[in-house]
Amino acid sequence: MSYVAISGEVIDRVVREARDHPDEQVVGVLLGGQSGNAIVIDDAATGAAESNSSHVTLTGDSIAKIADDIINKRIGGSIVGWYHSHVRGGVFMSETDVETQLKLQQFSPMVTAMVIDTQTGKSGFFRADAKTKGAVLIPPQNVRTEVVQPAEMALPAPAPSPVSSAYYPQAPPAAAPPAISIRTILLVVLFITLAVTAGMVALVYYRGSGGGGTSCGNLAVKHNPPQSPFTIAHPITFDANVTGSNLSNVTLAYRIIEQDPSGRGYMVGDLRQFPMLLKAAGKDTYSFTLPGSEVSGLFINYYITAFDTSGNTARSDVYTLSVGDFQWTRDRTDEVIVTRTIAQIVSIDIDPINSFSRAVTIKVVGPVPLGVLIAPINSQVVPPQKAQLRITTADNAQLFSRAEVEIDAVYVPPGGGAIQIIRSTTLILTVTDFDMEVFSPPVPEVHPDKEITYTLELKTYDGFTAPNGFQISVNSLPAKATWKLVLVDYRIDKGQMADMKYDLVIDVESGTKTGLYLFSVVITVVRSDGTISHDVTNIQLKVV
Amino acid sequence: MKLFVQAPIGPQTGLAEIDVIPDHTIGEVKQQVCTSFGVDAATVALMYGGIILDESNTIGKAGIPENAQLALMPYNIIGGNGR
Repeated sequence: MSYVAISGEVIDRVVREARDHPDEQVVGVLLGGQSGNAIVIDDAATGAAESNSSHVTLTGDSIAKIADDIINKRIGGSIVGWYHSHVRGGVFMSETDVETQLKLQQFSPMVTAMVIDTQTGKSGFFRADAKTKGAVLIPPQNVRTEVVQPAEMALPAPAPSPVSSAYYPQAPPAAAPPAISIRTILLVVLFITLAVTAGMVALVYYRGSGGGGTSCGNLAVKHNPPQSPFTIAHPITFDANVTGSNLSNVTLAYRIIEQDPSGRGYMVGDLRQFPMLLKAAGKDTYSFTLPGSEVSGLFINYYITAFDTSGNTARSDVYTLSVGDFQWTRDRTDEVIVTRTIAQIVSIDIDPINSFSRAVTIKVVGPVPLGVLIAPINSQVVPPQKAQLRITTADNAQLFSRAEVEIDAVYVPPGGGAIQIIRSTTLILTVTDFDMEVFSPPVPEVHPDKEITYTLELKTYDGFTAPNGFQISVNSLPAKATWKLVLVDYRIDKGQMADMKYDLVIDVESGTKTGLYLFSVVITVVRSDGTISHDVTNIQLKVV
Repeated sequence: MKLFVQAPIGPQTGLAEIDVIPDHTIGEVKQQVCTSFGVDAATVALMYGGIILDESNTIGKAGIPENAQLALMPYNIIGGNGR
């Protein structure tokens, strides 16, 4: 268990901030350093936050400004914790709080959460257990508060001035620490930071260079990275020249870095280690082939280590290989609307990653509405060549709103056996049309010089468009008859289906010959991509 | 070109020195740095000059100069008293 030493002035400030906002949560970061196994908090900072009574978010912009202030030394120390208030519920760590705490503990297990009860002003300090996803209370006896004198706070120079040893609590039974000031400790922390920094500058990041390697005693590893390009599901062979006496083994350690399914970040795989084998044909050359089934992701980080029987090791540089892959363009939101009987071609982008340049097979997995045929124009494309799909529909195809049709791009590596790399996307497909019906009056008889009224109902389904309108014709009426349409009702429902009801009024002029007539109504929509026409025939009209 | 990335969280902050080319994207640099720091890249962002850097942007287009010091920080800090 570690300890927390916090300036009384900081506690006063953040508690006051919390109590000044009784109806909303407050949030900020705690700044300071470390003394022994104690976190020393001597400042706090905050910025623009989105807040209500149950949640609070310190925005990325605010965090960026605080980071900039730390880097440019406008504020001292580093972020050693965070604080936020609870308007109700008291001092505890919610699931959200634990998630945030674990996110911060990635950087250091010493990072501490401070929770303040707005109503009482009480506070508690916590960390989180990554295994149980639970909160761990730092016992109050391990939290010490020091009232810093205003005069001391105001001193600009980092001159050490002794303060009570209680300020920096140490784990029992360790001896009490020497009496030192908070500024001295921060100087020490800064010194440690610089020392660690210097080490990390040398060690944290390796940029591979040809023939890189290290040696220990007479143990040496020389390695040239395999030649690019690398492609997903293709095996990669690593060779290294290892020399030294009493060599015990040579290993390849690697980790796969994949894109997160969300597309927002990356997933770093576990470090895996395999022995490399001495090539019979090459003296001192050790080799390991990463099987195609293991080659995935966007990057492969690796290094090679040689061990001798005396416990000496020699290691290569750390290298990063970029692995070619492909993906459908993300965040596609376009919806494809096809009208029955009118063929349509749809293009979907496939993005190559890391210079991927292999042919992938386009497959329509479905499900596809009845009467609809979706077929790739080219069964194979090489990204970034688009996948083009021809969609054809029968005149009686199933009308469907937003059908989700799975489309796969499949890559099969040559000689890869059963390995298939499948990337799926979803085509949102709406099949639409319009429909019409004509209803005759109960007795479809009319005398010359009179009118007779039929009902014409026109319905358009979701997604249907008629930019040039509907062309309506009534054919095969008696020679001396005219017609007109009178709009009676017009409705649009939630699914954007429109229902229009008209009176079809036929005026039979005097002198019209009596008898039975069979007429038809035809409605045509002319669009740039085709013409759709529907009709109703053999409608009876008896002139008596 | 050389860049420095600092994660000013924790009592002993880490600093990484990186060799990049202007065509590297911020996302690529972040990935490399996260690997070095052992941090889940999905939870953090690279920041410079008090703003969050767009991961699809390149170093060159983002206007980041030689020897600039970037920060690796969480996207946000969220507190709540319930789910």
